[in-house]
Amino acid sequence: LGSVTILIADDEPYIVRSLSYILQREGISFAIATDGQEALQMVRQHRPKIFFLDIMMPKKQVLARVKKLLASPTTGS
Amino acid sequence: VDPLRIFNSFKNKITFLIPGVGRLKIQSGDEIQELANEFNEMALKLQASHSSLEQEAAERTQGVAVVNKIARTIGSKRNFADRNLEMLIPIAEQLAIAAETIRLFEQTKKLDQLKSDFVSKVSHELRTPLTSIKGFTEILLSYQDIDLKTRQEFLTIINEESERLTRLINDILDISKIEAGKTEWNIQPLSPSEIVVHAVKSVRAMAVEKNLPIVIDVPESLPKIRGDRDQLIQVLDNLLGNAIKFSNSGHVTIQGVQEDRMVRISVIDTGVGIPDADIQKIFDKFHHLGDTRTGKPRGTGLGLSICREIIQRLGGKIWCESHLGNGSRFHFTVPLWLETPRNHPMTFERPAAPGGRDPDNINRDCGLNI
Repeated sequence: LGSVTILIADDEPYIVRSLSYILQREGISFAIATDGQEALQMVRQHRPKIFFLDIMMPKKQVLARVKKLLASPTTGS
Repeated sequence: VDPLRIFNSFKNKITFLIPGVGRLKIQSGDEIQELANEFNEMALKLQASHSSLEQEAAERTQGVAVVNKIARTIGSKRNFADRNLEMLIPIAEQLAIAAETIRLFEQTKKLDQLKSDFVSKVSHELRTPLTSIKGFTEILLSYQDIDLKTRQEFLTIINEESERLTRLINDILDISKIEAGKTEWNIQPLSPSEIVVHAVKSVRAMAVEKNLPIVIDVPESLPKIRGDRDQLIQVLDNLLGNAIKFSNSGHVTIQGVQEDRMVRISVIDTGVGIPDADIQKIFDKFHHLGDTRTGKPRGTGLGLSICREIIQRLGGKIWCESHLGNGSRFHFTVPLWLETPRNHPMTFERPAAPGGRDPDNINRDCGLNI
């Protein structure tokens, strides 16, 4: 499961659907999170390289921690 | 030390609203000391807001009302000599202008904040369906080999999101119009049962689709209410629509009872209910009731705000009781149509802004107790 390249973090189902359709067609691995808490978990678990992040989704307070994680040397690259 | 001389020297400094102005030290133990204390407080407040105050606001004439009031109050104190009074009036004048300036400044700041919050929320809400429409259109244009079923799914989403965008724009226009006082109200005596039956008709198809019976318990014998027919039907449509949307089994009941000089109408559902934390916020703009896990697109987030605005303008109240998993009860009241001499066309006043326009309140709002 370490091959996730992109994380889609958005609570709008249609936006998730359109992005994931394109990524699937292009053969790019991705993971989906629908709130800040899930996004944090996904970052820890999959170490994605690129984010599509909705900054106004639920539990967005956690996003500050996501940012911190990204800045740390173990995840940043 | 002559307290009044100290006062007089400070008066001139305050005139220029110099930041960092010192404090009056008067220990005369009478009204002058009291006034000096008020004066010191005002000077401190002025220092705090001086940098952002607008000169223009300082010249507002509303201050005159306070000047007069202060002058009157001072004038009624018999133990002041006329000479002293003359000296105090310009100080009071400055105090009044300062008080009014601070009030205007804080009111403007609050309104600006509310306005920019609304604008940023609106643009986010509009952008979301637009992003979906654009995204799926581009997908359909880019990939020529999408199977028929998926193609249909994407076109349906584009269609739904276009409709949502239209609803959003209509709702935003609606609420802006009501808030700006530009809605034309056609106030007339209305039969509660007649408008309920009419509203139920328009949501019946939705309820039939979900196999939800709608029980109407609004006696025809209820007295006439004072309201605007179209606006009240819009409120009922909204509440019934929500009740149906959030119920998957059971039924929706609509009740009407007379309570004192009001009729209370309640829309009761057996749906998912509302978490306690959300109850206070559901009438706020763009507080979505939708659950993202259902995978369903959300409403406009303005329906209940519009309901609240309408009911309040009609002189009633709207509130909600609910427990998660136990259904919701939305209630609203509308005043009875009473044949009193006040039956000429209604005028609607905006709810008093924080701070109020009443000049008599200015002293209190600024913490002045002269």
